[in-house]
Amino acid sequence: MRSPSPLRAAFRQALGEAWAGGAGVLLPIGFFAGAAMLVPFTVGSEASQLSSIGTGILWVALALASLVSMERVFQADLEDGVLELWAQEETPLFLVAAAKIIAHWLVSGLPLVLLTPPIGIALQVDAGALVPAMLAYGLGGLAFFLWGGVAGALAASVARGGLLISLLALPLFVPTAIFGALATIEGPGGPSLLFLSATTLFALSIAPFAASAALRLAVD
Amino acid sequence: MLPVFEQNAGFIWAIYAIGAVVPIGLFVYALIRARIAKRRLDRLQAEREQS
Amino acid sequence: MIRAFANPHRFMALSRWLAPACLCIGALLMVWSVWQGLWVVPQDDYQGGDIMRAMFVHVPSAWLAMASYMGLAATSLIWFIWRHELADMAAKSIAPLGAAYTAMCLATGSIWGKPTWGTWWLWDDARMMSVLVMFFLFLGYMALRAAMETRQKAARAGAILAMVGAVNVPLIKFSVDIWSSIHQDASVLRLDGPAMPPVYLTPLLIGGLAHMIFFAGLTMMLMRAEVWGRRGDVLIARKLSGS
Repeated sequence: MRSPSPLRAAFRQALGEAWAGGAGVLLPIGFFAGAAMLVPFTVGSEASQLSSIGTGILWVALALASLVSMERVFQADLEDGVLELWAQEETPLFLVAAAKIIAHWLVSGLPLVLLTPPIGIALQVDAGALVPAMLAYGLGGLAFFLWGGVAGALAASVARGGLLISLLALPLFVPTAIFGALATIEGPGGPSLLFLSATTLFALSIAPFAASAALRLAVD
Repeated sequence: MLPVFEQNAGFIWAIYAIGAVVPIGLFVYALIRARIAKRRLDRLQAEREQS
Repeated sequence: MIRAFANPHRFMALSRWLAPACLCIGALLMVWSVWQGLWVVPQDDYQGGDIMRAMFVHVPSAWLAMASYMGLAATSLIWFIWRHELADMAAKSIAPLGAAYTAMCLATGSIWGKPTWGTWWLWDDARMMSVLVMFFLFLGYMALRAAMETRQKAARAGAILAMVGAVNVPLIKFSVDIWSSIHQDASVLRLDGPAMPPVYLTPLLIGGLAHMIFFAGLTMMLMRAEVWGRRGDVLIARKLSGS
């Protein structure tokens, strides 16, 4: 039987996995909301204090939530042998890796972005700034998912690699986090949004290749 | 013999202590690693020649 | 030079005397620079009095932190392209040493910061932040290698991670620079002024050279341990296969 184009297969599979077993999509959402909810209890509930750090808290929560389900993204494919098939296909593996990561971002990253306005309002952030900020959260989240995807691919053959993935990916988040946080403070007109887009493009141009090299390693 | 500093003497000595401890510690670490590896190899080679 | 290092037998013959020689020369130069730093060099009121003596420990450790990460990336690249086993052994050996020097840079910088900046840790300082990120890159590299099942996989995974980290380091440096230029207050001490009198510069450069030579000696020692370890593994494999 000839499998469908691996790109489409990878994409569809990532979408499907999100709703199968264990409520995959809800996990990062719950983590994201829960982490943000904890903050007022730890730093105090004064509105002025919260509003000044609210956007930054959303960035931290987004960075952490993007790693929550990263462990299973490639590990599941490795275990059921799909990865081996993909590695032998004519379609370059880096495209498959990119499709997989972007599909994963669509199902577990985009909902987090849609959630930033309500959580931001709860954290006393100026409501008018939150909708334009969604663009920054979306771009930043994509970069987080790409680097997280590299880490996930590297740790695909490691049992219980979740913490390892965090250790590998978090240092790579620094530029995106910096420019993302600046962009949400400046608003959409500032230069930081451009720098943020640059870090996302940078991730987009490197992460698929690194992830595919790591996936070949996991298959061998 | 030891120099006397006008201020911040504790900080200076602490920094130089770290500057001594890290290289020496790394040397001891490398030495132990090399010794263990060498002994293991010698033991395995001796076993091989016996049999 | 690379040819000589690519062959394990030649490497073992070379490093047999080169490693102890590097360690001895490095240690001697290090002692000289410490002697200069503590006893000889006059205090500099402009740089905050006696505390600038910390420079002769802190700055070499910062150079080594940078250089060791570049070394890790370079050896990883060489291994990834040409699959020279010694390059991988070098990368594996550099990682713990580089992590130690990075930690040393952070610790001494922090102690130096307390009397000069009035705080142990300054998030606004771009150099401190870059080194901190590099420390985590080293930790991640070692954790990833340790988690892999086989030596070959550890080498490949480590090389990929080291190279991904290396292309990110300039970007991290750039972003932290921009970030700190927004936050920074003007009182921060600047070491990199162009006019450092030779009485300070010479011991500093010799100190940097000393640590670099010493580091090379340590790397060779760990690589020798690695070569012995792998030879031992080969013997065990032969014994198990009964040949």
